[in-house]
Amino acid sequence: MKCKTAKHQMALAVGEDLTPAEIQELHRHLQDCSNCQQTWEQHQRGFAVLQHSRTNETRPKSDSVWPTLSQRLREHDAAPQRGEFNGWIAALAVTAACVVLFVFSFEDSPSLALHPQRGVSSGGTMVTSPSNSGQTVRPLLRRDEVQTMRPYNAAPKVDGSLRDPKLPVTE
Amino acid sequence: MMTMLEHDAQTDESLHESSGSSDARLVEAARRGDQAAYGELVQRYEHRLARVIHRFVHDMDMAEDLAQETFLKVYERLEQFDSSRRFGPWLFRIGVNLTLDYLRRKKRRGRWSLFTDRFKDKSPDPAVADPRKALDLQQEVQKVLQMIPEKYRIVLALRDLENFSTSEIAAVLHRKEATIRWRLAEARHRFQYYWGKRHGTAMPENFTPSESAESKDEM
Ligand SMILES: [Zn+2]
Repeated sequence: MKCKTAKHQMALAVGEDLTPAEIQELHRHLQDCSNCQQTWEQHQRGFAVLQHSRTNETRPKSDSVWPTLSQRLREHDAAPQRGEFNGWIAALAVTAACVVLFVFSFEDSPSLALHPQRGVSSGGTMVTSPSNSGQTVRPLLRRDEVQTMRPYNAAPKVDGSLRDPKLPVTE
Repeated sequence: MMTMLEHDAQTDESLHESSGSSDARLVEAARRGDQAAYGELVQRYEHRLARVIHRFVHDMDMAEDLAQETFLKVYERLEQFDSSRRFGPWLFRIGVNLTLDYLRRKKRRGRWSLFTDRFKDKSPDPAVADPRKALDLQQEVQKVLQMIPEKYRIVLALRDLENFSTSEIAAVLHRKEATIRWRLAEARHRFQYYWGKRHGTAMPENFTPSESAESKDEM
């Protein structure tokens, strides 16, 4: 066993995270390597600190979150399905925006090319940016605005959107 | 009524369910609208979950709030739970994610004030302990843990402070056990190195944190 491997194994051995065979192999290396013996002592000290701090841990303050939580769950279950409702609004808004964009694309080139400053006001759904030449049309709802109309989520205090790609939540 | 201590001792020490109804049966009942069944699951895991969260947020009130949010989120997602898997790791994964997400948002919010305060506060090298301050072990351990990158620190906290097995951590973090073992070794090296640096027991040789850890730990 090389010292580099031994050091990796020591870090595991200190918390009893090696198999008996691995421990034996490490033990043989330690008997002949004073450098690794020193490292082993360091590891034991570091681990003892962690173990000691573990015994002084803070205890939860409340007996149970269940009384509060069960009340919130009852409210959650009793609430009208706002999630679905909002979902429909979002879907309708996106559909409406798409339809208007589609229609708009048909009357696009000639008229707008001739009148680049023209804004579209039909139904109040579209605006053109004066800085663009009229070809870029912004629906009233931007994509991020539509996305913010997410389904109801009863999490008033902590908004825990689970978006960390490294820690996927759904299995 | 059981005291909290008794409750902890009986139910909170493993991600494997204790006696009584199995987690799977309780999840099934909760899915059918049986809130009492869900309450049993909550009480089975809440103290350990709060403790784990507390490892990261260091504020028990906030830890309990985050635990409550975790249970609410889990309740909303019960339909998505794959009942062929164990409930505990799934719950803790959601809790850990929620907590890390909370910490990231808090960090983003704090960035501006950190920037504006930078020139007022000549902060000492965090790697060297301030001898004027009385040594508080918990605080010292926290300081050293904060010096370790998150992906290693999570594994260290779950294994060495909360006594999860490496296979449980693998299930919680959705990584291979080999990756978890690699990160654990790396985390212990770093803890030991920074602890030694602050308290005068540094390793004899130069320790270069993770020369090859980054490439090896995505196994
Ligand atoms: Zn050696």
